[in-house]
Amino acid sequence: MMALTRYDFYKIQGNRKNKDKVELYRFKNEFKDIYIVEIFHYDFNVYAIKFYLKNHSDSKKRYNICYKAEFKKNLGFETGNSNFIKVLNTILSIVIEIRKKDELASFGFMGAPKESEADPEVNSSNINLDCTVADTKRYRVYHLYTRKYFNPSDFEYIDSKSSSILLLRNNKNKETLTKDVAENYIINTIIPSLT
Amino acid sequence: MKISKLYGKKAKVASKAVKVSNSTSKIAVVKHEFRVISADEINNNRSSAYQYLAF
Repeated sequence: MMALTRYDFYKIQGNRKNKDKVELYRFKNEFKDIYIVEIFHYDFNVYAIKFYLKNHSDSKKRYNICYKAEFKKNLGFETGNSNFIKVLNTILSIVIEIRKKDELASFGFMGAPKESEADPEVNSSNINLDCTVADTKRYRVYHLYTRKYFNPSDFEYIDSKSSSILLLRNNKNKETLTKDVAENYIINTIIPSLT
Repeated sequence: MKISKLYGKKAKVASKAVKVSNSTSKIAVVKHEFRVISADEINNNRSSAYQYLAF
């Protein structure tokens, strides 16, 4: 595999009470901003990855906020594409590290809605009562990205467009984490924990 | 803000129910569709410029 262009990342300490359930990593991007990556451990060796800018730690919308176009232009960037692909490559490198430690690891990706996608006045038809948002832009991007690297013979793609969730089910764990078990677990445990 | 502060509040936030009517408070039930994407569909809709990770 060719080397991924990514940022250097470090594991950091979280709250001791929750450290078995949440692992934290951090890295700095080319705009000199720090990202925090949260790895949530769920049952059935499922890991959910969330990330946000440390500057937005206090915000309830920290998973939703994007860089403003003016901010990028002021730094001389037409788009944030090069930063975004490096961010995804960094997340992928963390995923690889987790997979090395846990050979049964499955990975859940939820495409958090952009602020406009979470706005009922703009996108009411896609916003669900359980606060999930269907078919978000991040969900579509993560979909395209994961299929570059995750072989379907190793991971089954269990997809829910209506909740913008994609689970890469590790096939080494397919006897335990069947599609039905995964579906019930996402609906009854993971989605309620997001709201 | 200290990062560790974020996690102390987590349990309280997670148990919040979605109120769906004025008279009753219950968890909103949304019917989500799940499907398994076949290997063929994955393989036919990706660039061959990338190699799968070897696990």
